[in-house]
Order: sequence, then C-alpha cells, then structure tokens
Amino acid sequence: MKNRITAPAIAVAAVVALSGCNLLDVTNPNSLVEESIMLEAAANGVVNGSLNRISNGISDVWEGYLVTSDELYWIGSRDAWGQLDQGYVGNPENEFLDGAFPSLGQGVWMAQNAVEILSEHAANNSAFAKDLARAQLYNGMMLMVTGEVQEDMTFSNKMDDGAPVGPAAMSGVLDRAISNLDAAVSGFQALGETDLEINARAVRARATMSRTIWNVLNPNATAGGALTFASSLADANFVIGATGGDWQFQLKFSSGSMSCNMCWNVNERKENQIDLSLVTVDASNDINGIAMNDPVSGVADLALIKRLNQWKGGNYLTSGNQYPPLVISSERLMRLIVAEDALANGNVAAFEAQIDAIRALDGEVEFNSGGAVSDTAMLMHTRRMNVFLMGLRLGDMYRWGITDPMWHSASDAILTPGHMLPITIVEIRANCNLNGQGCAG
Amino acid sequence: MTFTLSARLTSGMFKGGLVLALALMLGWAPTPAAAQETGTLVGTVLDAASRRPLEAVQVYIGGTGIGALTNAAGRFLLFNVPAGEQTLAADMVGYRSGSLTVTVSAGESVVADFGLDQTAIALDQIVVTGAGIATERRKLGNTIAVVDAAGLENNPISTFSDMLAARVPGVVLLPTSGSTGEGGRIRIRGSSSLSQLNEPIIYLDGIRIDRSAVSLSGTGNPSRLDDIPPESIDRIEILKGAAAATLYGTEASNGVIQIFTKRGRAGAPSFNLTADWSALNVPTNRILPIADFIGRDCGSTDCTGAGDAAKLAEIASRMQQRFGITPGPYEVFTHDIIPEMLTTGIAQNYSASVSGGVESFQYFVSGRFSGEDGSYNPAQNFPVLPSLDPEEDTNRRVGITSNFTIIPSSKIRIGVNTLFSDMEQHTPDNGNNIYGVFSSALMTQLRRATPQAEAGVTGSNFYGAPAFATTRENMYQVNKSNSSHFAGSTNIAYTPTDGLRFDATFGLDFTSDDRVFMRPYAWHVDGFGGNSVNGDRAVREDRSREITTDLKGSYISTFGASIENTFLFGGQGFLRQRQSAGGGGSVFPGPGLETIAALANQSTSESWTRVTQLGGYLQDQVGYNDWIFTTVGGRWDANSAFGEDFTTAFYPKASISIVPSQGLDWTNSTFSTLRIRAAIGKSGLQPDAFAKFTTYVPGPSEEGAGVRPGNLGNETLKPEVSTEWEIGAELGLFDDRWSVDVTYWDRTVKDALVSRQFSVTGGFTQRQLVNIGEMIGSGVEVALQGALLQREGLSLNVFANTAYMTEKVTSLGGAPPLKTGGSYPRYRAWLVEGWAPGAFFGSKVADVAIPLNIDGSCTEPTSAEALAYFAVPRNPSNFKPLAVGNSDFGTASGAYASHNCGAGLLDTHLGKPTPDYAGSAGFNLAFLDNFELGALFEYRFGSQVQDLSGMFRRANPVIGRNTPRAAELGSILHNPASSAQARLDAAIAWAREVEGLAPMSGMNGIYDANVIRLREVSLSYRIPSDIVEGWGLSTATVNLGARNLKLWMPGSIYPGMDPETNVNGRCNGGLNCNFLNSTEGWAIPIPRRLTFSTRVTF
Repeated sequence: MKNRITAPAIAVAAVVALSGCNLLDVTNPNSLVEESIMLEAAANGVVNGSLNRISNGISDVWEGYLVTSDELYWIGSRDAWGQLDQGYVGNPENEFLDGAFPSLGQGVWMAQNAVEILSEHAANNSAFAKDLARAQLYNGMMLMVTGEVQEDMTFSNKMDDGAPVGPAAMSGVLDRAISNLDAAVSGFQALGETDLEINARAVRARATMSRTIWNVLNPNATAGGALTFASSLADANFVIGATGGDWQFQLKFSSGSMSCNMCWNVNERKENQIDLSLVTVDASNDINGIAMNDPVSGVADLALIKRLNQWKGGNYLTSGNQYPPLVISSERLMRLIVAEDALANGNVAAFEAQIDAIRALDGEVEFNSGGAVSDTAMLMHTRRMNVFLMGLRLGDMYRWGITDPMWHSASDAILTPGHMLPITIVEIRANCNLNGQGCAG
Repeated sequence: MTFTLSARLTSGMFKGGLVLALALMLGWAPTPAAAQETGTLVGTVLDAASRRPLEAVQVYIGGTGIGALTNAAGRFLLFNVPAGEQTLAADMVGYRSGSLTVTVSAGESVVADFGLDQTAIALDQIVVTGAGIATERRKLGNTIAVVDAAGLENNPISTFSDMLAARVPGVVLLPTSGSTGEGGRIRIRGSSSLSQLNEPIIYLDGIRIDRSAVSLSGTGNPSRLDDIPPESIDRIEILKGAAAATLYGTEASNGVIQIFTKRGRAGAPSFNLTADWSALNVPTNRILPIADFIGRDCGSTDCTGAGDAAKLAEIASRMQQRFGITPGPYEVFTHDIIPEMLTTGIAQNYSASVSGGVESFQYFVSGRFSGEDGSYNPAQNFPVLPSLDPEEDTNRRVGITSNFTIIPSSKIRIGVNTLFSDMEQHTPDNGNNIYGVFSSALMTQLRRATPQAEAGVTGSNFYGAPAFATTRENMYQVNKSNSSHFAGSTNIAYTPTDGLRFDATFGLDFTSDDRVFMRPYAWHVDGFGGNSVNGDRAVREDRSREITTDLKGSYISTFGASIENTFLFGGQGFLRQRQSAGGGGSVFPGPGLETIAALANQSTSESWTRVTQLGGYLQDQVGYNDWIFTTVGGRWDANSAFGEDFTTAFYPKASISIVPSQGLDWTNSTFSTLRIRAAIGKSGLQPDAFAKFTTYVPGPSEEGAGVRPGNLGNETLKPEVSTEWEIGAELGLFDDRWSVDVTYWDRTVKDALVSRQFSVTGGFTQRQLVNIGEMIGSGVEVALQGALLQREGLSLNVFANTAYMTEKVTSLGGAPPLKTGGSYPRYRAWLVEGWAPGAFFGSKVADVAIPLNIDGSCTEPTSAEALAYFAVPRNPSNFKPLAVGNSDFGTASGAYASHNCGAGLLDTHLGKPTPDYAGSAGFNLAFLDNFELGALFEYRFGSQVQDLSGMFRRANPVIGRNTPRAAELGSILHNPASSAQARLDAAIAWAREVEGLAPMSGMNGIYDANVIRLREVSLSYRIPSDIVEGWGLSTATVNLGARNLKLWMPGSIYPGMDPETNVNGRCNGGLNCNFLNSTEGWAIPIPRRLTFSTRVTF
C-alpha cells in the first residue's frame, strides 16, 4: 500500500514543480510585444511602420478604384474585378473591395497611432519633432486617400468598434487629413526641413483640392466643368516654385521594404491591365501600343508614355514588376490645380501657361486656346494623362459626367454617380455598429 | 552451433532435416541430456479455413512454462516436453483458442498441427494507448480501435495512409488528391475544434511525432506519417475522442493515434523481403472535354463588325492546323486535352527486414525504398528545351527503422527505437492556382490554341491558354522539397516486484524540410507569361523538434479473490520547437543561376515557435471477478500557450466495462459474448503558441526598419475543453463467429477557441483567438463482421462498418460568422451558429420561370420583356441570374443591400461537407488452400461537395466557359441566327446550370455527393510450402492488388472530376485546412493503382 500513496504524490509534485519553472515561460522573438512600441527607442520604427501600412493600404484600395474607373480593366481569372469594370462599385461583398478594406483600415489606424505615440514622445523630447511631423504627414496622406475613395468609413481602435462616419460626413475625413497636413507643414517648417515641407504642402494641395471636389460629388455628382481651388493655390504655387524637373512625391516600394500589390496584380499576375482606351494589347494581353493620342499633336500621348514607362520600370512594352512607385503628388498635379482654377476663373492665359508647362515636360507641342480643342477638353485630357494611376480619375469622371463604356446601365456608377467604395462585408459583420447586433455589453 | 537430433516424424509434412532447420530458425537447441527424458513437439498453426499459416501464435503446454511463438510459416517447435500425455494450447488474438492432446515419447518428435478458427470478437486483445499500461480491451470502458498490420499483409498498401483508410468506423482518411506523394488528412469523429488543427496527435513507440504535411504548393503535400514504412508497423491503436484520450490531456481532443513498430523475437535471424511494382492510371471519365466556339471572339454582337470576318477566318485556319477541323463561327467543337497530359505512372517499393535475437537481446531492423513517378506528365506533348527541365511528378523515400530490446535482468527491459526517413518530392505547380499545370490546362480555350512552335521558339500556345501563362510555361516551375525525419526513443521498464512497474520513455522527433519554388530565368518559353519572366526563387527551411519525456508507474494489487486494483500515475513533458528561415526574390541576371544570391530583388524571413507542455495523471482501475471493471482518472496540464491568467487545466475521466458473458453463467452459443461499456472524459486543445501576446511584426519602409500590427493577443487564453461520453456494447454471435460492436457518442466542446474578427479599422486585422465558442457532436458507430462461410479450404469473411454523425456549431460567443478563404468569395464553407462546421452558404437561383435579372431591377421579367431582351445576341456576362435572397444566418436584413438584389444573397444554406454516414464494407474469400481474394469498399453518404474547378470551367468569362454545356449555351446566346426564344431558353439554362461565380458565388456549384469507392481489391497466392522450402524459404506470396479501382456516386448528379479530392491538399491547420474538406478544386483525380507484389520470408 505504501507505493499507492507515495507514487501519485511524487507525480503530482513533479508536475506542480515543473509547472512553476520557467519551461513554461516561452518568449516570442518573432515580434515586438505591445509595451515595446511605446518606448522612445521604437519611435522611428513606429513612424516607418506607419509608412509601410499606408503604402500597403493605398496600394490595395486604389486598385478597385482604378478598375472601376477607365484606367484599368480586368483580364484575369477573378471575376469580381469584372464587376468593378461594370461599375458595380457599391457591393460590400466584392472580394477585392473586401480584401482591400482591412489594409485601408490598418493603414488609417497605424498612421493615427503613430501620431499619438510620437506626440507623447515629442512633448517630452524635441528630438522627436521630425518623426512627429512625418507621422502627421503619413496620417494626412492616409486620411486624404480615404476621403477620396471611400463612400463611408469607420474608425475603430482594437476591440472598440467605431461607428460609421456616414457618407454625408465623409468630408470630415478630408478635413482631418488637412488638419494633420497643416501640423506636418508647420513641423517641417519649424525644423527647416524644406524637402519634407514641399512634400507635405504638395499633399496638402491635393487634399484641399479633393475637399473641393468632394462637395461636387456629394450627395450625388452633378456633371460640371472646371472648379476653383482657392485653398490649394498657395501650396500648389509654392511647390511649383520650389521644384522642377518633373518633380514627384512618391510612395516607394522595393524588395527591401515591401511590394506594391496593385502593381503586382497589373504588371506581373496580369489580373488587370491598362485600359484599352489608353493602350493596345496583343493576344497575351501585353501592351503593344498606345491607343490614346494627344489631341493637339494627334500622335501617341507622350505624358501617358512617360507615366507608363515609369509604371513598367523602364519601357511600357516590357512586363514590369511589383515595385514601381505610386505617385501621391507632383509638379504636374500642382500645375493642373493652378490651371483648372485659372480656367474656372476665366483666366485662359494662365490656364494655357500651366498646360503648356506640363506639356513641355514631355516635349509636347504647345496648346493654343481657341483652337480645335476646347479649353475644357484640354483640361480633362491633360488631367487624365497627368494624374494617371494617382487615384483621382473616378472622381474626375463623376464630376465631369464621363462614363466608362463598360459600366452597366444598372450599376452604381451609372445610377448613383459619385458613388465611391463601400464599407465592406468583413467590417459589416465584425463591427457591432453595423452588424445589427448592437454594441451594448 | 551444431547438434544432433534423433526424431521420429509422424507426418509426411516434415522431411528429414526439417526439424533441424526449424530449430536453427527458431534459435533453440535442446540439451542432449534432456532429450533422454523428454520429447519434442513440432507443428504448424494454420487458419482453419484459409489454410494460411499463422505467425506469432502463442503455442504452449499449460503449467509447464514451455511455449513458443510460431514463425512466418506458422511453425513452432517445443523442446524438452515431458514424456507422456500433454495438452498443447494455441492462442492468438482474432482466433478462438485451440487445444490438442498429444502423447510425447521420450527422445522422439511428435507432430501436432493446429487449425484455428477465427473469432469475430477480441476482448482479450492487449492494448496500451489510453490505458497507460498493457491492458486487455475488455477492461476499458472507452472505445479503442486497433488496426493489426498482420491482417493487411495481402492488401495493396504502400503508405501509412493506406493502412489507416477505411478500417475503423468514425476514423476517416481524406485522400485529398491524386498528386504523387500526397498524404491523407485524418479526421476522427468529425471536428473538435473551430480554429485549431483537427487532426489527432500521433505517437510512435511512445513518443509524440510530427503530424504535419510537407507543404509545397496546392496539392501534392506529403504527410509526415507516410515517413513510417508500413512494413515496419506492427499495429495502430486509435483513441477516438475525449472519453478515451483524457490521459493525453491538452491537444488530445481530436483523438490519439499510436503506432507500434515491430519487435524482434528471440531466435535465429528471420528475413522478410517484399517488392511491389505498381502502375498508376488517372481516371478521366469524369473530366469533361474542353469545348469552344470561335464566334466568341467577334468584336460585335452580330459578328459583322469591322475585322470580324478576318478574325474568324484566321481562327478557323488555325483550328484546322491545330485540330484538323474548320469550325463554323457558332459551331461547338471539343478536344479532350486532359488525357493528353496523363500517362501511366509507375511506382516501386522494396523493403527488407531482419529480426531475431536471444532471450536477453532482440532486434528488428527494416529498410525500405519507394519511388513513384506519377501519371501527370504533360511534358510528353511538348518539344524539350535544351536549357530547361520540366518539373517532375515524383516522390522518392528511403526509410530505415530499428528496434532493439535489451533485457539485462528479469526486472529490467530496455527498448531502443529509431526511425529515419529521407524523402525527395517534386510536384508540378498545381491547385487553385493560375500557374498550375493541370489547372491551366483545364482552363484552356481551344480557339486560342496554336500549332506547336519549334523548341526554343516563342509564340505558340498549344493548349490555348487564355491568360497568365501557357501550360508549357507552367511546366518549368520548380516545386520540390527534400525532407528528413528522425524519431528515436528509449523506453526503460523496471519491475521491482510483482505488480509494480515503472516506465520511462524519452525521445526526440526531428524533421527537416528544405523547400524550393523557382521559376527559372526566361521560363516564359512561349513568350506568353508575364510574371517574373526573369525568374524568381523562394526557399524555406523548416526544422521541427519535439522532445517527449514520459514517466509512469503502475501497481497492480489484489484484494481477496475477487478484486484486482490497478493504479497508474505518471507525468509527461513535451517541448515542441519549430524554426523556419527562408528567402526569396526575383530577377535572375541570366540563365543557369539558381540561387537567391543571384537575384536582383531579395527578401528574407525567419520565425521561431516553442510550445512547452507539462502534465501529470492519476488513474485507478478496479476489476471485480474479472468481468466488471471501473476506471477513474484525471490529468493536469500546464502549457506555455495558456494566457497569463490561466495556469493548469484538469481533465477527469470515468468508465465502466461489464462482460456478463464472462461473469455470469453464460452458455448461450447464439449470443456467445456480451460486453457493455460506458465512458466519460475530457480532453483539451491548446491555443496557438504565441496567441496570448499582442504583437507588432516587422514592417519596413523605404525610410528604414519599421513595425506594424501583428497579433491581437488575449491574456485570458485557456484550452478549449472537449467533454465526451460514450456508451456501447460488443456482442459475439454464433460462438463468436460473428460480432456486432455498437457505440453511441456525444461530445460538447466548451470554451472553444474562436478566431474572432474585430473591426478591421481597429488596427489589428488578424483575428483574435478567444475562448467563446461551443460546438456539439454526436454519432453512432456500428461494426459488423463474421464468417459467412467456413469450411476447410474455403472461407468467406465479411465485414461492414458505418458511422453516423451529426455536429453543430452552437455558439460563436457573439463573434461574426467565419468564412473560409477570407474575402475570396468562391470558397463557401462557413462557421455559422446553428449549422454544421464548414456548412456551405451561397447564392441560389430563384425558383421562378424566368430566373433572370436582365435589367438590374432584381425582378423576374415577363416573357415579352425577356424575349425582347434576347431578340439580339447576348453575352452571358451582361445578364445575371435572379437569385434567392435568403438570409440563413444572422446578417441584419438590408444592412448591406446592393445591386445583388438585396441582403442575404450569399447566405442561403446549400449543404454541409461532413457526411451523415461514412464507413466501409468488404470481404475476404479464401479458396483452394492457397488463394485469397479480398475487397474493401468505402462510402460516404449525406454530404455535399463544391465543384469549384467546374464552376470556373462553366462560368468564368475569361478563363472558362469551356465545358460542352457552357459552350453550347454560349453559342446559342451569341449566335445572330438564334431565335429570341432559343436564346431565352439558353439563358434560363445558363442561370440554372452554368452561372456560379461572383457575384453569385456558390450558385450551381454545390451538389449532393454520395460516394462509394472500391478502395482495395486483392488476389493473393501463397506458394505451397513444399515448393518454397525447396527454395530455402519459409513463405512466399505473390499478390495482385488494386486501389481506387472504381468510383460510384449513387443518387448524385455531382459533375466534378473527383469528389474526394480537395483544393487544399494535405495541410497544416487554419480555417481552410479544417473546414474546406469538401471543396474540389483542380486536383488530379485519385489514380487507380494496380500493384503486383511478392513477399518472401526465410
């Protein structure tokens, strides 16, 4: 009987003893735990991580936007792209909108989180002022793109579900973007970081432009002509004056940082391709020519070719890769803002000067107002060629009443012009403000 | 060693020298002195009906300590048998005991042959798993199944997976795909977890081993379990769930499989050689030919637009060159491409083993080589390029096992066991993959096909790839792995006194996988593909090690004559560590370079996980008069994956087994044996290794190193707990020639780990693991077996088993429903409260006369409206079916109404993946003394399967619409000569039969799929012993066997290629791996395998 008592006691004692020892205390070397990112030592990594996430979010969310517009079209295997081609932009269950929405949401959250973390650090240590301004720039960019492409949005925090902003209040997202960009510009100015200030002001010029366009697109877009962009002019002119040589502010990608999903999908997988109104393709759906001519010269548009070459990493006839930059703002956009504002204000000479300055970047012949091509047509064409693949085209189509021939008559794009990307099903199901279950308890 | 023996043989069966030879074989030598007062007994034990010699029968003379086991030829030899009348007995599990009275004369040999009758019930079978110590099955209140390798020697088995398939009710081996080397997935009583891997844990000779797949891409993923050579396996014990697996604690709720390898026996070396040669053939009868019509390429609806005539002429001319036909614009033509991609595969296995030893040392060593070159060989149709090699479809394995038993004293027994396996696997890119060779061929469009260009010349598209890459280009993608596996264990058993025993087992299981995926430089040999045309490469090296420490003790005591008490105690520790490092990138500078270092774009990755588990258990079993047994026990576990707020889990169990036929005065020969049993127990499943941590992972940018949100941790994590009770009975009928085994089980999983999705704008888009779910399951398992015919030289044994099962997710704890595949809409298996796990939800065509949504109004058109719409040719892309907007799970109505005709379009319940009934049946016929014919049928009824590849083939406008029916309907719709009514009829048929992808995901894609498969059939011939002895052999058998010979689908209209294949292949966990069990997608159908094998022993 002795063994019957002592043996189990030994076994249990052994288990208890081992349970308390550090064999069970396994650390995770693969990632940082949450407390660590609050440390000053991690501040730079947090801001860089913010850039990583907004690059990912913008890349992901732009593709659906661009396919819906007349910049990309579907050539691959996954037919939800085809639904976007047909103008069904409001379907929350579209797999590509649904796949991109978490990337967008994470980008938004990470950019805001970086601002909050850096604000704490900068309040105690001025050495973090630059990183704070960078975080504000990234947050502004992310909010700007969100305001440009989304019909509605939620802002949640970990397990706290945020209520949808509502389509009517989405202008507030652009306002928040501008507010962050204001802070970024001030921060860079205070630090004497001129190059970064140029970036921030170029983005702010775009954000304020988009804020103006938003008013035209909502609640339903009404087709019109040129808009005045008074609140963008100062930044636009500042950037024009401070830059040159076809300056761009880009989100960059590489194998050392991250790849651009949209770029991979178009350039490598060939799920989508540049729209046939712009290029011609061969039997393999590879680009083999330019379909879009310059309205003045009548030959292949040089601005388009230049942008395509950049997109393909050298020559638009090659297959390209997953690392081309995404252009967020540029000298061309700044000039377009100034040009459109001038046109809207009846200053044709100033309009023409800016258009010709853009055309000079490509060696195009000059545009002469009053010729065969109207000023408005020239504005639309120049803008289409020079904000190509910058996530602005669908808004331009809506505000100018342009429809994609591929859009179905029953599609959201036709029936409710101005309709942007929805909050998607993954968020609808998960968010207690949207799933019908309520958030109580 | 030499000795002399003066024997008087009483049977012609034994010739001069045979006894000597037998003695040598068995390694025993009588002493000359003993021979003067004793005699010798020799004999053969045979299956009474089939006349098959029985190996490992225990033959003994009661009360004398004289006994032996029969060898491979069924022979035994007993020396030093006291002269006089003796009762010779023979016992073997699965046979009724036999006895024989013989008279032994001093100094002489007497022949005593046995014929043992099979019994259908084996309550005295010794089992170990779940019992802690070797225990007769009748003492256990829970179910334990045993697959005895000895009974499968004649079956066409080439892997461990083959051994397990269709043997035990409630244990399902999902074959997954027909790709060479593919491992099967194991499910025991369905799913016990919503988020963790639903595979049982696996032990090999007492230590935990890696159960994962060597995951490549898509299908063709070998199972680690197939590293174990089947010839080295003695038996497999299976615990089906928590009630039986409590002592295994955390991780055991999916059941436990323990594999025991063969041991040596004292005696002269005994050799066993086998050689198999197989031919493999993929059935193509269910694969629809590729169909097309060239009018699809018209640029205008009436095909009279600018350039249309020239384009059609060009295509027609190309079709003439390629296929020898000149189709009209809307004439459907077909070509059977898929059979051209297949050939007769070959496989071969060679194995050898030797066993033997002396009383204090025994050994068993085996080695095996297997090689398979599968049926999948599209390269046969293309000119070979000098600089590139198409990927192969091959698997090669070498396995070596050894077991040594050392008995230094009567109280100590030491076992040392090793397994080493080395494998090389090559699989062409495959699966749900636009670059898969098989998948790309299935998605071809004939009108795009061109004649084959010369080798090295670009511009051809031989099969008519519509996008991404040509089939030939896809062939050049390298997809291979090299894997090694070592498992070693040492077991020390110490028996200080009668009844007291200590066991210690220590072991290490180590696996190493090197995997490569590569597209060589300029792999787009036809100039068609655009992805990474300068090549890319990804490598990953995975190292896994698991250390097992198992210490236990047992004490058996008796209280009076009636009570026997067995007390068991023990502790276990497991340390599992996985390291993974890899790299990859793109753009080789030129041909011939195949290392990452040569790539222009490079990236690397590394990860590390460790899980430590410590547990202890106590169990006490009381037996009353050897017919009533009660067991209670419990297990405590601590685990490094538990959250900070949770320390130890406790899993109790209790069971009872009553054998009235043994304890009562039971003389009924009709109901010859009866046992009833009941058990209840708990076991658990741990969370992921680091799920408790909220983490940030690397997220670099062009500005420098960065971090981004990773896992949303949960510090309250604890194991999910499965509570299972079962009740059952075993009934022996007609003197145990027949048996019925019935079990009812019921399982509840509480605190189920749910991967909860929180708002994706909250930063952490990964789902959080939370103990908030609950699921239930129950079922009935019935096994019947017996002898339909038993006469000398002719016997027919039959068996049948079935398992009925139902399971349901009862709660997700407020978490939203979970869909497999994330945002990928074509996978329609869900976890939804109130439904079976993995249930299908999707779109369903409206049950109205004209189920068409032709104007986006989401209403059924009138006949006049429809005819007006179809008065002109129509592309099916421009109208959609009218779908039912059911909301069978809890999405708020109207919350996301869209152009899809309102909420709930994709929420209609369409079926479930787990069959109501699954089982097997078969027979074994022994005739003409030396022949045996066996067959095994496996079936599944009452489930649905999604034909995903068929959905693409039917409906996808870019890479599909190539089935004959889709082409036929499409041609009518496109044809300007069709009438409006014909187009309308075609459109209705299109809606009801063809359409099925986004935004109508699930429509026309999920079907009833009742399956019966002739899994095994074999004919064996045992060469008579008088012949083989002349060759110096003990036994020699030749076999002709076949696997997966025939598939029937009674009562089903399933249109897919093979409902048993799976889009995932053998996989390693996650939502898709767990619940996409019935989604067929581009996998090679399971091949028929015809095997000729020989086996000799000497």
